[in-house]
Amino acid sequence: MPPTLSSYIPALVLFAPALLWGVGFTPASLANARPRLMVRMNIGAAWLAFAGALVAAVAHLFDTPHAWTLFSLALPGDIGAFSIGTYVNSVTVIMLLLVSFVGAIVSRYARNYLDGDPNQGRFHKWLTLTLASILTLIVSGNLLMFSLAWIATSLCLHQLLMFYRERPAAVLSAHKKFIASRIGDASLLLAIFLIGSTLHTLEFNEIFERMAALEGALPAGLQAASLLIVVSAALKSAQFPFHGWLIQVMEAPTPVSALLHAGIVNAGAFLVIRMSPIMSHSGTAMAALAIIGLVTLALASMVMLTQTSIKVSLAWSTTAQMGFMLLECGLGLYSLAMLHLVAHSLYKAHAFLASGSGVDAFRAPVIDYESKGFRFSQLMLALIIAGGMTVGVGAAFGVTWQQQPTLIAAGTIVAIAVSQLMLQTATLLGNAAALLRAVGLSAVVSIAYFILHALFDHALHGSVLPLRDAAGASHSVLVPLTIAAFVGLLLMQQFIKAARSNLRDTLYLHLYNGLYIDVYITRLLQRVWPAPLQSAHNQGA
Amino acid sequence: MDMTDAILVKESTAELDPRIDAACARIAPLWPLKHFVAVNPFFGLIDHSFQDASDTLARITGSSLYMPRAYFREQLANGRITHENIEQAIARCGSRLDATAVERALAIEAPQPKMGMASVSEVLDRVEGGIWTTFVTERISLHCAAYFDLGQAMVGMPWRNLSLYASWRKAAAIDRSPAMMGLDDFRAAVVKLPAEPRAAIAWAVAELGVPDAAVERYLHAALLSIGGWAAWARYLRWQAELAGQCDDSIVDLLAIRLMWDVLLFKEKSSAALVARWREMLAASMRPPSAKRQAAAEIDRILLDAMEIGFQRSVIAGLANPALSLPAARPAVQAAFCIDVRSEVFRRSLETVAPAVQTIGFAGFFGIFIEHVPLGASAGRTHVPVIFNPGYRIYDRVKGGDDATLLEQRRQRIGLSKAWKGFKLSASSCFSFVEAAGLSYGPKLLSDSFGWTRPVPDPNSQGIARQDIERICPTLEAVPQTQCCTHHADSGIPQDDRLGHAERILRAMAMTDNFGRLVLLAGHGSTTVNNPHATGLDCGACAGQTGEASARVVAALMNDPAVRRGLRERGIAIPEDTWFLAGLHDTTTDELRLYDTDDVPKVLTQDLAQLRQWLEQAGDLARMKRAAMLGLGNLPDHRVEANVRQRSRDWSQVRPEWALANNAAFIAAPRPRTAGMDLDGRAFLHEYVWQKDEGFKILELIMTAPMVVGNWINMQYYGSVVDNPRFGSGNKVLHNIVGGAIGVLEGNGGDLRVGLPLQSLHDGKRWVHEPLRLSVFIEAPEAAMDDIIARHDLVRQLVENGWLHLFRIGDDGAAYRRVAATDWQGA
Repeated sequence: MPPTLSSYIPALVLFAPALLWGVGFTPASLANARPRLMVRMNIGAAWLAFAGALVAAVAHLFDTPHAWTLFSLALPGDIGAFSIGTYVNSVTVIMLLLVSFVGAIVSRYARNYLDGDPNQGRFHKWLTLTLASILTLIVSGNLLMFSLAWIATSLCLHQLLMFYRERPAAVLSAHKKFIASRIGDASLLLAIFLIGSTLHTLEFNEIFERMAALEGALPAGLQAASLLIVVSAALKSAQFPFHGWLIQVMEAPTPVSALLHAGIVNAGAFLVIRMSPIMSHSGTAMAALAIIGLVTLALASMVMLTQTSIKVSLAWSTTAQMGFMLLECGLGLYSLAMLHLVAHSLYKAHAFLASGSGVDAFRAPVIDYESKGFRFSQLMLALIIAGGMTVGVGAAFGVTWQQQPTLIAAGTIVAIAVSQLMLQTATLLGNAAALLRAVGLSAVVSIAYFILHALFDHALHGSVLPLRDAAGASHSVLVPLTIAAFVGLLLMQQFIKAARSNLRDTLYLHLYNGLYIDVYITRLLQRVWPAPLQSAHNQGA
Repeated sequence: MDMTDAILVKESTAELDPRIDAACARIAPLWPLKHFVAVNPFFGLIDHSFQDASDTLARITGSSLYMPRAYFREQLANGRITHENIEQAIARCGSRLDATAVERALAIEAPQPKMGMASVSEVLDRVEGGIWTTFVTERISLHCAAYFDLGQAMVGMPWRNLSLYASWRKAAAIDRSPAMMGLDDFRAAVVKLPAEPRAAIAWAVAELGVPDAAVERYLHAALLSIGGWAAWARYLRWQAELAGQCDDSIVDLLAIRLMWDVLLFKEKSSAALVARWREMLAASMRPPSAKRQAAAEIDRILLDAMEIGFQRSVIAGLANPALSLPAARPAVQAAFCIDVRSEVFRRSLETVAPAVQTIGFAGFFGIFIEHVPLGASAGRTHVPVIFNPGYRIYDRVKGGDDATLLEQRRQRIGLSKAWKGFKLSASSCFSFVEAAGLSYGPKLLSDSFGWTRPVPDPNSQGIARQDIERICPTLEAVPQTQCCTHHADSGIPQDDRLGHAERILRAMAMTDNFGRLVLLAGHGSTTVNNPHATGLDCGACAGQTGEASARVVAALMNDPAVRRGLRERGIAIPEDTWFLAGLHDTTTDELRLYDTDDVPKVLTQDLAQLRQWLEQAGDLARMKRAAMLGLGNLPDHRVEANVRQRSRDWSQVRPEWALANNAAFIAAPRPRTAGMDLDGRAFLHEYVWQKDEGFKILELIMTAPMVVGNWINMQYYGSVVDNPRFGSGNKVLHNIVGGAIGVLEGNGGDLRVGLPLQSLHDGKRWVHEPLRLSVFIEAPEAAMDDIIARHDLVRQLVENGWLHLFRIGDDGAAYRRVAATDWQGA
């Protein structure tokens, strides 16, 4: 491959957001007056952006991380410079592909979905701008540019969440999101300031070089910065107890939910992965991240089980999945986190866009399976088979459990999941052939898991900094804690489905109500920043 | 509560009971999304005149049953309402106004009714500001969703074996949400509430000091404040009553709503609240002001004027019937559902093939079945929702291997259930994402372009493509081992068949001159990712497609024993006549034929000819609908491609216009209407009164299809005039709740009833004109008056102004029924 193609990479990755910015700056009034034109421009730009990302990905396959600066402006106080430029490594390319793809699908979906809405033009304008800002965030080569894009994403999204501003519930949840985002922004900006004043640069490549040269303990400024990054990431990823805004954004049209859950909410994990050269040095930050993630995933996945509306249950599922991703980051399993990020985005985008299909499952033939549930001994058996399978497949892929204790946690999680699949299949169909099928299906699942893990490991090699030894010290606690949490989830899930007791009933209700935190926050918010009240007359909804 | 209190409550309960029941009866039922059926949302108010119902609702909800003035202003400006129409409407309404004054009055908005009956939470919102009403609605809605859930939650509510009210008391005693809102004593108070819902209602009415005369209205208002779930509870009662049982969930719901009111009242008992509450109660008792009444008179005239404009076009058409069809044997007779969408297709078919005779009849073709799909453990009802099915029909596989396909289907669906469990359980959902999430990448792409369906098609799930054609419903009994339900009886016994065949043919007025092919065409829609998909299917088949009914009746008519018996009873079906079942796809205007491999060889030519005609008719029908779909300027083949794309598009919120703009119901011989372009606005029922001995068929038409027509018409009407309350709002915000119960709009709030805005409005204008149904029946006056006198339901619909009834004379002239035995030339 001649080096010429890779020298176009900066242009290629900048092409995607630049095109969208251009289209997005169409004035709203013009967009509304010519909705069809606006829609066509939005969709065209989104597909071109995806095409650009594809070419960039091919080009990058043959290249090393690559920084490029277009314009630079020195900042006072020797904290580096603000610059417009790109930093491209595997993480950039994967994210760019993912988000531009989801963006194109969502834009196309919105074309017919919002057809006839008097503000369709405005909708596509802000959709384009939101997309442009996330893509900018992804390709940024400078921390300040990154955080400006980060803030822009949130502000553009705000316009989409407020699309039906006559709906008090929409306004309320947008306010909730606005506050959480601004706290996140402040902590990110502070982190940047600390990084800048410690390392005297805001360019990613220079930061990474300086960190590579770092010897000894992490300076206090960076230690604090890494904690602030954890705060920003947790707020962006709707982590407990600041998850309320994510649960309530169903007040915006479905494509917004799809884009938000697939492309925006994971910016938190992206930030952590991007900053791995700093984060991997800080044991405290990583442990905090893991614990926030673990608590969130445990609570949110249990709450999800009790939810009765399709979109709300998807939203709780996202909160849980983001928690899992942050846990993986906290454990230093960046490539798994990256795999999770991509896979979850695709899955959740589809789940939201297809959320109108929920009724179909109830229109299909009703079949009573004589499922008697399963006994404890069967559960143990399934766990043993699944465990054996995981160890076996893992060994075949050359996983060395002793050297990577965090992988033991990951492996246990897979084993528990696979045992669930096996039990479900075997008890539902209840015959020998089905049992064989169950084991076969489980084997396919575990093999898929390890293949993908290996692939992402390979792809991310050199793009993330593995956990430093100092930061790994807490693993002796975190790994058993994670395993315990998942075993706990498994048992809890059986307990809550099992026979009734007062404890169980109480637990159910608290979970169903999302542990009430959001009720309280809503009440507080209504006092300090009330949404306009719906007049009682048209209060039919 | 001590003994004397208990006795007091008991006494007042006895007095209150009829009022509670009356309030509950005011609510119209809501069918679940898995078989969504149109309902007249004012079903419980038809004992009121249209105007009184409008006043009653206005005093509770704040909105009347008329469109805003701006709408009428537009209609006057664009000529849809003429000066003459207004003059006629004034005469019809017996008003003394003159037309110019009405037109002038249009310029000003009608006065908004003052809020009449409100709940305590609404009064509280007005006193202290806040979100109490929203909060209360949210709490009750969440509870109902969990209690009634059909299978969305993986972990269900534990108290579902209790009554709704008892389950709420259990839950509310644990729920910390009120405390989070500052109602600290709520849980303690819940424990002390009366255990019996009716006693609780009586206690609340006493505590809140609701005056005697206002009780029923207060209870009605309370139910309407959680109207979606009330409609759902009303549906459960409807189903229970059909099965000869009873269901009190709606009373429980009323009790829950009242408990919130009374607990809020007690906990918040500020002087301001008490004063405002009493003031509201007093105000709600006053009759509508003179100003309101004057405004209502103008509204009434405007609605009538618009209806008159439409009726005149129909009346003009009826007076000029097409030349009656040649008596020669028709090549094909094609019976369609009375659904307004059939009208367009029938006219197209008659245009491309004048040798085809078309007939309109209720789409279940008069057979009362429950259909059990292959492998299913429960059947689906395929009859109008006011009836119970009489027979359980199973599927059979042509060519034998029933058992193999059945087991295969059970295995496949079982596996997909297990996979879903893996995807959604708390401990495995994370690994699911990592192992399988990436596969959604290609799926996003293929679903987006309509190459694949986002989820399997519920009708063919678990069956290989090549096997679908081989499965058909059978009239025969199926051995117990082959059916997976717990019922022994199946099929239609030989002894019953003849009776049904005769009844059905006579009801369709098909007793002689049979064509060589008789097509029975049910209808269904094809859409994806549409929560309200079943609402586009056949209402007469209880929200299923008409496929099973058409196939069963065709099989019945082809049964040689039935044919022999019919001949003895005077209906001679020629040897070479064959009944064929089909399904009109209302989204694509394609007509699919079933069981064509059973058609006798001698009819091969005829079948080929019919296929060709149907294809041409489809093209024509699509062209006619193209303008409404915004495809008016496309060439033919592009229209077809676009319509097909629509039916597979997961982002399409307007796959078809369904029954939008329905406005008339005509029961007459087809020649009467054959020359008219009714533009898909009319339900057409075949009826030849001269063949109707004792007017039994007329009675059936006026008590069943006409009522169904009114239900559909009023569903559209209500969804347009008051969408926030009787419609389901914006489709892009819909959030399916309870698996397949209904939709919420956005985050939460009440369950929504009726139709989404996108089914009524194209973004620029209302596609559905909200008019009351104009019914035209060609039958003698006396016969109709007699039926009206004997059926309360029909009498109320006609005399209270919920529809307009016209008689078509032998000469084609129309006479409007003004009062019993008083029919005036129109």
